[in-house]
Amino acid sequence: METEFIEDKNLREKFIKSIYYAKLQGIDYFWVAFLKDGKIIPQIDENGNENLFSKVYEAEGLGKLKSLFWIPTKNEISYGIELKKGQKIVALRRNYIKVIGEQRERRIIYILGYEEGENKKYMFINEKGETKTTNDFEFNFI
Amino acid sequence: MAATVEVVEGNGATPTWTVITSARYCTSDTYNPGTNYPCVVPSSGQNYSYWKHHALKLSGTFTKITNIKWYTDGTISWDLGTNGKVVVGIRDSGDNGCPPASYDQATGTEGTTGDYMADSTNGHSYYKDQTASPADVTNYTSSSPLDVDSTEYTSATDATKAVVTQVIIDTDATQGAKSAETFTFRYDEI
Repeated sequence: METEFIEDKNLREKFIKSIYYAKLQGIDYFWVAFLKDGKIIPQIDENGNENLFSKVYEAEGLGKLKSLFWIPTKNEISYGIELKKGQKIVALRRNYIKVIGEQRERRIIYILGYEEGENKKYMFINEKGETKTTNDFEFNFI
Repeated sequence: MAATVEVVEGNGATPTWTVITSARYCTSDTYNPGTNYPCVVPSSGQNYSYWKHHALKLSGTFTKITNIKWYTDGTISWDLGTNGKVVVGIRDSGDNGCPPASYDQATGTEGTTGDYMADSTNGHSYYKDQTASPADVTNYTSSSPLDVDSTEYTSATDATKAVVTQVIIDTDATQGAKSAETFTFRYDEI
């Protein structure tokens, strides 16, 4: 069963304080997990405290994870996925450190997706909010 | 509060891992030697730089860091001569990165040439007995990066598995300071 990715233009309005603190850290996107019991686990809460993703893994292990979104601090659209039964969440930051003589260039690509045996799908999101959907986990989006 | 990740170079017998501001191939086991110990164009055969270990230092707070890869932009502009190139140590199977426990200090004749990492006697102990020879670094690009380290790190470490590289210089290479080249580490974090 294929799962579609969700685009939401309004979600970021509910996390204005989190966005404020994320911006202070120079973060382009932060994750927010929604649980089936209505609870929300944000990477950065409204007081600027940070949750580890291990809490999401824990909720997923207990069958409580409903959906997960990457919410932008500068762009408009939040990208999310609602998991179906048997699907395992994939959410990570793919980091690049380019060494050029004495200079460093750092970039982050945000990845969201699911895996269910051979059935896999990922969305790659760059700092500009451009996306690419693929079943290739190693897709070169840089 | 995310992870803090830096590129480090290993030097010395123990080794010492130093966050790099510059990586310069030379003929000494020295981090950032400036213009000392330059690579030497041989009058016959081939010369080598001392090999270098580059890894990631992980600190800060994170749940997991894994899937470490490494690549170049696909070209080296240096004139290293007919058979000159920059090579990277590879393994016959599994991760190509050298674990910290298998670190092997670079050796050679200081000021003249390093030992070839695949030399059966003086080579790097983690690579010299492999069937696979050290590979041209330009083979590894963003679309086909080198698999360095698939370990799932859940806490800080001074060094992940390291990329081990070395310059090979042929007789018809051009002596002199070279322009900066690039390499990129890639890793997944959550």
